Amino acid sequence: MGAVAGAELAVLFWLVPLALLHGLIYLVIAPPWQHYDEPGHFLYAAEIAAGEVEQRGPLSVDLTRTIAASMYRFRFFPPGVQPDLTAPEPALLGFDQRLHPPLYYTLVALPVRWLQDRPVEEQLFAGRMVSVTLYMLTVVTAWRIAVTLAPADPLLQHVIPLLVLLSPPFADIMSAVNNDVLLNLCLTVVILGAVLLIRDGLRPLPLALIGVGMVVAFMTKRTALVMLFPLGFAMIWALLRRPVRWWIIPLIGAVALLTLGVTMLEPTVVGGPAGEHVVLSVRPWFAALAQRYLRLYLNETVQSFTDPTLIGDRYRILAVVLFSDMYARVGWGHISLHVAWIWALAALVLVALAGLALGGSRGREQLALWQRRSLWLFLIIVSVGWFSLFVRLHPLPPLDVKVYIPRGRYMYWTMVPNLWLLALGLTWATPRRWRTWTAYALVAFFACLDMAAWMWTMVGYYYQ
Amino acid sequence: MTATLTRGWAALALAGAVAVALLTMVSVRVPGAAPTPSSSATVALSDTAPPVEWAFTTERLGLRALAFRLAEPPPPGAALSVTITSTDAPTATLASVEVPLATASPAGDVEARFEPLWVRSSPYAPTATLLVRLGLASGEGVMLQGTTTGQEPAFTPYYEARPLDPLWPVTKMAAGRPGILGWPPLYALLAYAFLVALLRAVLVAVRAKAPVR
Repeated sequence: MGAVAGAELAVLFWLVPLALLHGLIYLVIAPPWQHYDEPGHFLYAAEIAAGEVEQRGPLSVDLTRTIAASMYRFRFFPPGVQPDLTAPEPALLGFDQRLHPPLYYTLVALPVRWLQDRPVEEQLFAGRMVSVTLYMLTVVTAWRIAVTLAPADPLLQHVIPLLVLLSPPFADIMSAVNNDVLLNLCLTVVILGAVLLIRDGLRPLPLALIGVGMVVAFMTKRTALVMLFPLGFAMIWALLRRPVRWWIIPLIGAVALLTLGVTMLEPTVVGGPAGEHVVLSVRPWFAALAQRYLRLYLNETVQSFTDPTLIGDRYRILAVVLFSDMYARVGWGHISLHVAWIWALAALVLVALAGLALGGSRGREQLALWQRRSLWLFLIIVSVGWFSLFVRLHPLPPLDVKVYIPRGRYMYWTMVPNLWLLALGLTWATPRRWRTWTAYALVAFFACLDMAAWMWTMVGYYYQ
Repeated sequence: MTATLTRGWAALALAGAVAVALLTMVSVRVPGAAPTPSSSATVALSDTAPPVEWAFTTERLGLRALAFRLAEPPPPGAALSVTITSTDAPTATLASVEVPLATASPAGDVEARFEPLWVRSSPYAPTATLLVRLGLASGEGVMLQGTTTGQEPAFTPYYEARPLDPLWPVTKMAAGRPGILGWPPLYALLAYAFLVALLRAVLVAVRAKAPVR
């Protein structure tokens, strides 16, 4: 036990400082306000610190002007555009983030409150430090997932947290003032709990990790809801400890979907440029339930989702945006690494998918049942992440109207399973005697990708 | 043997950090564009006449000195007074120095040095239009070399730069930022520390034989 504790401490001795340094690099290189909705997120925290979040008062109006002036000084606006700081109304800082629960912002408000007399940029960087702390915890959690899932593979135990750490878009968002930071940590903790649940069954530790993780996630952002679907599978596997026939779970899933579909949905004829055609609509009782308790207007979304005449080129565009956001974009998604990196990553992903397909059948003999189920869980998590963003695209307007393309950052909570599957797929795609070199090469690739991001791309964009 | 190797690597890493710190703490002066001096034109400064004023636009951030040339040996005890403001905010003094002319070089060059100025007229250009006021802090009269074009004395602006800037613009990264974030070596030291830590992490991963659990 002492040797194990010593070995764990030895890993933390290099992993935690590495994550801290990496988070600090992204923290200092990104100029103030150059993350998704950072002005709005910071304003929410600053209003909590100033005691004016429920009802905006003069302090809050002053804050908006201070932030807007800072945004101008740090070249946030296009040349020639200057915010109006003399108007009596608050300066416009983008989307109002007060629709989110206040937990994350309350955390950020702690250092902001202490620094209220300091320049607003100092307050912002202090808020970013809170995020960097959560980033370090996320990397450590990714390491624990690797230790749990690959107990006999020391190389993989080191490679997985390194890949998570070296992912540029992940480090970029996790060093920003943004409630996605806490959500990503919580859901990574839930994933750890789910893996332990599958391995050990209904034990206190995994249940506690899942319980606390989901509660804090819901107190951070409503979109944590999406994790419930994969958790359902983890629960089933925690209860069904013995192997089941491979077709039973898909059959149960198909029957459940069919039952839900028949009870909640009904066919409807709609018009449009393509003429009359049939789509699915939500039955009135379910639509009223969703609206009342979940504040979701499902009918338009369901109709749009089942109407192929509205798709056009949109799914392809969304897929490209999500893929590049996942691996190679930082800032507000406006800074992209060179397209050669994106093509290289696409090639890696394709090889990894082939490796997963090929190795999946061979893995049946090499991996324990709980390990295979955990990998299936990762696949479900990644699929749910992608699917949820395709759903988010809806309801789609007519094809001649521009549509909002959701960003890949909404999928960053799937980063750990995503990189796990990438590493595993690439390893399985290579002959056994080269697998160690594949792991080294993947880490080297991500290290180069990461350095290309902060050392050249970001610095070149902001400071040359 | 292992302990010696470890200490050796640690010493090497520390030496690297010191080198990076020195490389970024040491700043050099880079001369900027200046009005063409005239061998025949002169500008007189006296204790009875008002200071000479002129506007000039910097070409980059970090102005840290203005050099003038004396047209004739100065009287004993004479000193120049140099005050710099921005045309955008004329009442806020950016720099104010007194330069004893006894410090002039044998060729008559004298420099007014001050803390680097990071002002810009606009966030979108690294330039600023400054108002320079040059007078006599003490002494009776001084003659400075003039220019071919204007009423102002010939001068050469010097800007701060770091040897690392062409490779990685740490001076620009730190410009205008509060507290420790305004210290250019921080960026280079962070990058260096991360790269060293990453190398160590990769070596640990390569050598990992025993699983943690």
